[in-house]
Amino acid sequence: MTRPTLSLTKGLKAKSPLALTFRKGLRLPCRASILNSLHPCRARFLAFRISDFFRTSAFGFRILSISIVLATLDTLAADSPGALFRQGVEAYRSGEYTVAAKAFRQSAFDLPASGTYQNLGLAEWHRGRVGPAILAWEQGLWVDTFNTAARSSLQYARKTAQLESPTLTWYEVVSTWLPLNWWTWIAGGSFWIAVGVATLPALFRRRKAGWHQAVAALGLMLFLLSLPALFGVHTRCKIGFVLQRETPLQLTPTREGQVITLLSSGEPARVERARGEYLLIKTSRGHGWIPKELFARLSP
Amino acid sequence: MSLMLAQPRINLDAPVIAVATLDPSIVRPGEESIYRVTFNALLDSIAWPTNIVAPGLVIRPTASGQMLTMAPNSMEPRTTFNHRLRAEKPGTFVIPEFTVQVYGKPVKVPSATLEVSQDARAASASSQWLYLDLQKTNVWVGQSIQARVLLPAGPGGAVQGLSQVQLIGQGFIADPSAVRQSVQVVPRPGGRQPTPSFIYETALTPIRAGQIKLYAQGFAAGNRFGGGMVFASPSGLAGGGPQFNLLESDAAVLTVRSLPLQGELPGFTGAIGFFNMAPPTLSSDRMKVGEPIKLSVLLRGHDSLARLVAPVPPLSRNWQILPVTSRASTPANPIPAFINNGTEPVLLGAAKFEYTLIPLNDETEATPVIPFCAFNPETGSYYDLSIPAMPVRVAPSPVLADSAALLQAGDSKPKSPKEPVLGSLAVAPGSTAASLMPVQQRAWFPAVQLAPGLIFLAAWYWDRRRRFLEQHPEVMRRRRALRMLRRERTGLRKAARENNAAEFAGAALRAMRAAVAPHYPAEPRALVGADILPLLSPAPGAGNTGEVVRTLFAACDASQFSELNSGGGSLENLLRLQPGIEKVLAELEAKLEAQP
Repeated sequence: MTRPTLSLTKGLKAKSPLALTFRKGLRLPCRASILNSLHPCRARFLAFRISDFFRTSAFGFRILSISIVLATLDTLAADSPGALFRQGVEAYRSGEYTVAAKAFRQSAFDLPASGTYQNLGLAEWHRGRVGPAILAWEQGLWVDTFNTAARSSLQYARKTAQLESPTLTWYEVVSTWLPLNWWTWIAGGSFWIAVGVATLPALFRRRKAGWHQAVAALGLMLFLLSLPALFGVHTRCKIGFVLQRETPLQLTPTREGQVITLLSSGEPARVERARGEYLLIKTSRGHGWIPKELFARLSP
Repeated sequence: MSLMLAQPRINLDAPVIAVATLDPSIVRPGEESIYRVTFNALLDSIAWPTNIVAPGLVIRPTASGQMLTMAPNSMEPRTTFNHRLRAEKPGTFVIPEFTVQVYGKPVKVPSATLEVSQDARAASASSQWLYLDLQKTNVWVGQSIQARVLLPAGPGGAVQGLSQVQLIGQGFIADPSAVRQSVQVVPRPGGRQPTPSFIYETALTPIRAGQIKLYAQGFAAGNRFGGGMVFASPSGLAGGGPQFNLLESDAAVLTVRSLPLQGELPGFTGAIGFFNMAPPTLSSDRMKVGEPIKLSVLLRGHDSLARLVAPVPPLSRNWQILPVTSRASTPANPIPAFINNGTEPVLLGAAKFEYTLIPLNDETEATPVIPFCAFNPETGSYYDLSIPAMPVRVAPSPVLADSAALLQAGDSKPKSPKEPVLGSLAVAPGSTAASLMPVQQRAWFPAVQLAPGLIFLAAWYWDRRRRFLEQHPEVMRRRRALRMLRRERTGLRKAARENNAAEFAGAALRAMRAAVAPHYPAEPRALVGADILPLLSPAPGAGNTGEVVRTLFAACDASQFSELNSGGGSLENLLRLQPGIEKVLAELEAKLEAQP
């Protein structure tokens, strides 16, 4: 019988270390940075313990345990989202807001997280960049609508900077009640549950019970109720924010276009279409073109 | 309506006549004369040419105006256009006749002749001019100054009044409420000896920085004076009917500077000049909570105060301050607007601001300080005019029992919504998402949503097939027979390779029985050789297959039931029949596969 061995493969580009293959030996694809971050003695100890562990434990439990170990290793890696988040927190506490913002931004790029966006907004706010701060907090709420800290920060920033919130339609307001993808899964799940409960008893030659119909009706109701919210999520993707102060809103998408008005940093707008390096946006103060680099959408 | 109907009508039906005059008609070389053309028509109806040309003359348009003169039973419009002419050389110069469109009809303007001679009298001595006298020519934006328009008496010492006096120019406003008319003996500008003159005074306020060029114009109204008049000196008035000639002055230039931004004090509302504030007064210094009082402030100054804006009161926790009411000098409440300061009259004014203050609690002991300041045009700096605090004594307001209950109930409610604060630093990343893009916009999402549908489709197909097979059991029997036939044939071949005759015979027998059973249908073990033979084809060579079947069944029966052949010797001969048995099995397999 081949004895399972642990081998950590260098240079693999797999994003997650949880992608492992169990063939003749155990191959654990993970980043080279994980290896580099480990001390040789620690690596040998870990290999010994894992190989010993494999001989004695059940296979499913082994996989679960290895996943936990790899997730921990990934968290410990220097450029992992978790490590970047910690670096950002330390930099923020020491008052280095630029370093903190950079770390939080990279962490959020690798793994969008509500708390990361909350901290990114705080760092940008202390740097005096109102637009990026408001964008970060909005994205934090976009990921997790229950993030009260981001919501409070957003209200504070808008009150302080005299900015208005995006004007939402009723179905967009409904879509803000739950996080980003919940409505999608609720709609998909409830629809297929309704279809399944309505059809499967007949396929399996079971008598249709009352609870079958109740579940089907409930699923259909949930599906229908979630449709407006789904549409709201779709339309909210077009909302974005001005990143710089006194950004010109132009009449035409040209470099010499006539300036209609100047927009404040953090002012909300809706993207209607794009042309070259310009976006046609609609704000409460007008309707015109803005350079792409001066505007960021909620959902890039 | 009756007042409108009582007005005499304006005579627009009379034939339009143009009169061209020169004032004076004889001038010296280089002097200016006024070319005046008068129509008995409305100003807007005349298409007056902008460029009038005459050989040897420099002509430039100046004043123009319209007035209505009284005629029997009607009012006659009178419109005048002035031009200034100048000739550098002596001679006679003619402004030729030309045509002007009035009310859409052509009207001829007669020619006029100007004589230029070295022997002529000075133009200023022989014609009527207006003089514009500005109190100051270097001022700040917003600073009010006095402007005087003088019409000296004519050669006979007769003084004429002026009608419709206007200051023409851009970048200033003239205050109609500060107009004052008088007849005085004053020296003409230029240092000439005092002459009785009609004086029209008003306040002028520049509203933009830079050079402002302006001049005055007005109609000579003879002995008709409109509005209040002051005759400060005895002088003769012009007799006869008025000529209503449009007179004008030379242009004056006003240099205006912007107010400095440095040193501006709180409460600046545009007050420029020299102001004195009298001590503010309170309608009462004892009051109860909620009881309004009046705070009056009187400002005096050497400038017009008509446009003085009251300072905005500050927000106070203890006081509610209602919008201020201001009042300038009025005849009912005389606050001096002008005084004659020796030989040069100056503007004087006063303004009164009245604030209504309501104490909100009994904790306050004084009125709030209201910041205010003004700009000193002489020094070019701001100075403080803040309204000081006034001591007061505020008593608690008696509250009725019901009101107290309401106030108590109101206190239990939150006084103000919770103020938003900057959120705290998150110590963990919190909820995550794979991407900021919603899943429904990703490429794989439709496939994921279709997967349950495909599963349900497969289940439906499976159920349909199952129901079909339940209604057609022969399909299952034939399929089962085919499987058994193939399995036994494999065993048959294996037994043949191993020379195991008994196993060979048994496999062949089972295979044939299994292949034939669905055709009846019957239990395979109940079938005999006679049941198989009808299913074999009668084609050439069928005899051999039948023989093979019979031999096989006979040998098997013999081996199973006869004691003579119990050693299995006859079975060993069956191995030679393998090709024939294969052929029978192939034929039976084909029949099974062929049936629907």
